[in-house]
Amino acid sequence: MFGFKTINTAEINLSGDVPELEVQLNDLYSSMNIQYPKFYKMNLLCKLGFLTCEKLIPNDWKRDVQPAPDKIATIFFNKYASLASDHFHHKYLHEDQLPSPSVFVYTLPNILNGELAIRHGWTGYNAFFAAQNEEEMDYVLHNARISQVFDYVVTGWVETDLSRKKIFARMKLMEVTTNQSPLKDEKQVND
Amino acid sequence: MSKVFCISGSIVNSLGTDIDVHWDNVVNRKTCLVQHKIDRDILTYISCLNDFQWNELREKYGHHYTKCALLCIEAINVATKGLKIDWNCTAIVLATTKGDIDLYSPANNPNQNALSFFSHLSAQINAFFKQAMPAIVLSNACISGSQAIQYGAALLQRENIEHVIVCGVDIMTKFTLTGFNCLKALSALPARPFDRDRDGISLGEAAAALVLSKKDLPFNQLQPIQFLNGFVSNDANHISGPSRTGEGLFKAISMTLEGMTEKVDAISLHGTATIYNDDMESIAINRSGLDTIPCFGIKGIYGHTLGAAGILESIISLCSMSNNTIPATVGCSNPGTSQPINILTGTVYTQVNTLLKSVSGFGGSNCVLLFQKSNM
Repeated sequence: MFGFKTINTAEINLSGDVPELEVQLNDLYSSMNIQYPKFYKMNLLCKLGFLTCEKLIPNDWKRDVQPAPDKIATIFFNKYASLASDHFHHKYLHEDQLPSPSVFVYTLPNILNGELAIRHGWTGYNAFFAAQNEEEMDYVLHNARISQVFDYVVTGWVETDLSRKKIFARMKLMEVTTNQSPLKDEKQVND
Repeated sequence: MSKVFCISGSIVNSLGTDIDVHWDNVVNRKTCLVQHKIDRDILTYISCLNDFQWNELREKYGHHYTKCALLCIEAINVATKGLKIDWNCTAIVLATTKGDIDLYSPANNPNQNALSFFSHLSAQINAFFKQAMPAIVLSNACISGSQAIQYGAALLQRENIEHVIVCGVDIMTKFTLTGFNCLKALSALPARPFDRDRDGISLGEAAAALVLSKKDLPFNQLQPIQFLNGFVSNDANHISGPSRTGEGLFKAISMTLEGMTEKVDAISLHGTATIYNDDMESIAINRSGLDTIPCFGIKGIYGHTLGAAGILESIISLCSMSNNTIPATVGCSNPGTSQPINILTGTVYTQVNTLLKSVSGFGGSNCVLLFQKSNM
């Protein structure tokens, strides 16, 4: 058996039209004193997830814990996938303009997992689930951990809900906790 | 841990739904790809359902269903035909990259921003099969389907679940075609995976459903086949380009095969037919010491079916095991990758007891699955 223990949480909530949101996210990036020019190439969803994750990972955590990069999973959820980028790609088509490769690549929600993998060197389990509501998250997280072993997970809801002019991310850094006896069982199975 | 058996699979695409027809088609090296004009002077090859086929599905299930839902319902219906399925103890996992993205058009849907293409899809599937448990949708680019099998196998460990149906789907849309075209990823010819002259992908429209069970029932009434293991990794290298060293895929293969004593008899590769993907796979396979194992890819037949690919290609892999036949890689006349691997250009009839399936996708993800006949 295993469980999850929360190490840290982080949240970002912003509202406005897309250009306003871009400005707000860029301002937030500047105020956080991060040197990562790739940030400016990202779409709304990735910028939002990236900054929330920067707030989530405590400065001393990586140094003190030295987690194995392949044992840190990223598992994210939302309802509207990459809707903001879908909108822009579709706009090109609708207006009969040439679509842009840099927009199209971001029409996949899991690019967020990819961006965070590159930023932090995380090479383990990564998944993006489209869920109806946040109650499904714990259930999915548990199943995911049965499907593949990891020690830590960066998880949460990351949404760019343009129809309500709202973007928000709520993330958790969690440690997978195990107790002794089932571990022995596992060993017996392996033997 | 309960063992996980793959007991039935279905594929729905332009070729129809009969799995025997699909397998014959693969063995006889027939392609589903036909020439298609995207825009102005741009030609490519695709596989997609025609209007007659869509109408048939609408007549059968109802005109209110979206295209993705129609394909999924048909795939799940065909896959579960003749099986005793208690829908109260059955979970559905859906895999797609874009879901019902065709609804994203002001003409079709004035309320476009309020619609989630994924939850709308899972709601339709739930309603059709009268399921209390909501179908979760996994969207991890091209590894979605394979990862759904790995996730479904974990879901099957739950006491109250007897069957898990994993269903992958993606439809042919202007959205996706123009997107891959602007990436200069489309070939003007049918995809030629692992061929020295390969120059890009062909896109395919399909749904594929695989039924996982705790009971050791035979796959499509032939022989029991177990899903043994699976592993997901990330290259942590580039969001849209494959790793030059094949690091992530190499890692996923190593972890999947860890502790295995039996040899792998065949490998079903991703083989998108882009220069970089196929080279990356050859490097990872070579690094894993699997360069002599017979390999094949079927995107020259089905095209790249995106979210459905991992499941569709796993089902053809299971057919390959059942029939002890490793198919040729359609489209590959002269294998040519940066590292030598054993790409089959002709059909090989041999025992296939253990098979490895690999996929990689945008976002840097890789997923490797391992299947084995259970009477080994």
